[in-house]
Amino acid sequence: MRNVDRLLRVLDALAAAPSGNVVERLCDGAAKLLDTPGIAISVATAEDELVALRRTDACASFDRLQSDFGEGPAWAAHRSGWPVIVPDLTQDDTWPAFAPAASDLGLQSVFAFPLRRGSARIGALTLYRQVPGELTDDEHADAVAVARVAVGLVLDSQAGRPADDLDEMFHDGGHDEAAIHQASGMVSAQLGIAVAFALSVLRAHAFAAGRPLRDVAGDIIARRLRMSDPPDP
Amino acid sequence: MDRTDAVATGRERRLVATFVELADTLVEDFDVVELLYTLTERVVEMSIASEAGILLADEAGNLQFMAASKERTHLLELFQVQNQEGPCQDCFISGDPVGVADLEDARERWPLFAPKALSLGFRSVQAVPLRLRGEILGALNLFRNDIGGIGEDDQLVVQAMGDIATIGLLQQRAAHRAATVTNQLQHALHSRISIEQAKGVIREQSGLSIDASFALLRAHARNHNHKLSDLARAVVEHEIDAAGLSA
Repeated sequence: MRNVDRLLRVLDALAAAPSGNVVERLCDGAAKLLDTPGIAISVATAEDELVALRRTDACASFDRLQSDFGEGPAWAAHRSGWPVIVPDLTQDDTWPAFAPAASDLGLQSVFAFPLRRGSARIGALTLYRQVPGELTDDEHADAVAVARVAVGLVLDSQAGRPADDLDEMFHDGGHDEAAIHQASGMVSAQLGIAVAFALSVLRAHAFAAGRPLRDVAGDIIARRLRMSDPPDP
Repeated sequence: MDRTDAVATGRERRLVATFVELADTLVEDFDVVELLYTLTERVVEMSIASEAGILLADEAGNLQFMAASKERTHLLELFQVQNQEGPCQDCFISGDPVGVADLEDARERWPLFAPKALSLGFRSVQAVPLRLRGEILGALNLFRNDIGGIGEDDQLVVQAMGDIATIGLLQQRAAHRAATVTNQLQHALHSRISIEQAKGVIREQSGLSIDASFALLRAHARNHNHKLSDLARAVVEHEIDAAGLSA
């Protein structure tokens, strides 16, 4: 399947989810698409800790354990930038606190995908299953597509911008132009903030000013524009 | 041996030497973006192309710039516009090589790309697909300052280089369990983005232009035996700043 078709399927699943805000609908849509009731999205704080943005009911207890213990596959995926694939939790001793506690509650396999754009580390998408087994190649690629959409939604919500336009979500790919990432590097150094937050600051500015992101980025690079300190959260 | 044979043998020798060099690279712990840069430089040395670049499709199916024989902003914009139209886009969709012998004839076909390429002095262009088991991952793009495109001999060499790029993309070592094709490609794409982010950090910290910032990053990586992508990450995560980089 072509990547673009995968992305469209994710957006279709999001659109078909019955209710809730856009992040809730992404999780619910992903749960259907991936045949995995337990879907959680967590985001990184300024102190680089993960906090839950949204958990489906099926995984709330498992995901809470990752928060409680400050360890687990989501943390590993977020820190390393690589997906963490655990098809049989009973065979994995990486997380001495999380794994036994989660197994006791019925978790058998777990798959975490980083939410990132380059070195902008935004958070993690976690899939929780109460059966053991690998993800298929298709499921894996679908999860990566879900993570892609999640990145855009998280950045927009951090930018104070409502994300409810599916067309915009689809075209978020245009936001990977080099200038945008160069500008976010500059803003990150200007403000002394992580580049993930710098990317949100840029998007917020572009949205508030009603300008295309690439134009704002161009102005930053040419030093026609500097970002002032971001507003208090 | 007549002159044609001598030229062919000379080129064959260089081709073999390039393959050996690249095979060596793939055995060690290598940086995929640096490998792609090296490939584009070799393609230009070994064929009639003036410049070359590699684009890779991301998880949304957009063609993202990965490496080029010269890191100049104007040239990079020529690759970036190919996310919308151009020989790489056509090649990616069809899965076949795409070549145009005179870009003056392509203004209607590619109203954004062709004038831009012509304005940079390029007259002909060729794109070959990066292929993996029937799937198209991206494209290797060649530009020439003269009309005529790439000859048949060069086309075979260039496709072989594209195949090496594909192998390189899939050979990245991962300390983690999940080294599937999807993850390998994701890692390459994210490494590229890291480099763009690092260019911005260095520019802000040093006042250098974006292009000079990249030159400094790449030179430091080479001279201090760092992987380019690792160094980019370290710069972005503020583990090293511009003042700590040296050419």
